[in-house]
Amino acid sequence: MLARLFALPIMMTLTSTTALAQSQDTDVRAKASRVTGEALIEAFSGVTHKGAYNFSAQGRASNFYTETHLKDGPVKYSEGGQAHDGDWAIFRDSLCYSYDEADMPGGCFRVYKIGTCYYFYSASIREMQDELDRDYWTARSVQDGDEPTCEAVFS
Amino acid sequence: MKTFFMALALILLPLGALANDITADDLSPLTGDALTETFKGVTMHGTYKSPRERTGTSAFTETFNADGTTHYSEGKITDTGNWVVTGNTICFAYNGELMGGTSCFNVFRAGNCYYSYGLGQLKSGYPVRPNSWSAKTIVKGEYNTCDDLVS
Repeated sequence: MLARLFALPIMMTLTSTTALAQSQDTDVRAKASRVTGEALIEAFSGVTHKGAYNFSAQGRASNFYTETHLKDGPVKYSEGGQAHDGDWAIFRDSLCYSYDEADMPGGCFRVYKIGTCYYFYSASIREMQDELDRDYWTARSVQDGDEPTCEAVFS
Repeated sequence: MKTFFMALALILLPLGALANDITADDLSPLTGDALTETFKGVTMHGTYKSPRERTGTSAFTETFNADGTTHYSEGKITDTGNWVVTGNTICFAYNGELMGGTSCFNVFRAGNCYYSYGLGQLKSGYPVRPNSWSAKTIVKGEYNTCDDLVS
């Protein structure tokens, strides 16, 4: 998966309110709801998400992306001005991506939601209660048009 | 004699290693419908690059049912799970003793053998290190054209 999140003004809003509190070494699951089944389909099928990877310890995001999940399986991803086509699917309540450019690894993700924000945990790792010594979530996104409400949970 | 055997072994070992090597030129990528059709309803015999600690064997057999379920056996372990093809990757997850994360692979064909590589190992569409495959398989009952596999 995964490319660019929030438009820059939105990102600036988020980072200003989450400074020193938000990073990918923060496990959000205690405050999040796992998105599965029909809810997972509804959240992504026919929906464009804007997301970001690589949150610093200061809560600043980098590597922004936009990803549109077409209803019949294709996905359109863009990051850094580069567009990529691929496919998405739901597999055992995880969201899986594959891209036509095989060099671009996709993979499967467990999805969690807090407010309007979706957090993606790699499904290649067995889910555990406490997963230390590594980044927790790979990326974070919101549906295009939604106001991000992520910051409140990171106080 | 000892010296002779040792010398012969030294000659044979590198030759043997070369015989087992594959290169990107040997590999054809499997994607989309072709990837699905290769596995759908098929039982494959396979081998990992090295023996699994859990069973002490590198050999396994897996049946990829058309309904998306799979049956896996490796030594004394058997398990059920699911498989799915998304674009150019095939992913697996299991229910029992092998339950863990979801594992996804890019698959390439060489002869009638299928080489699986973990995600992130490709450059320009081909494995950076073709011999660093995770598993290789053949369809049950076929005479294999690669090494190390039981036909």
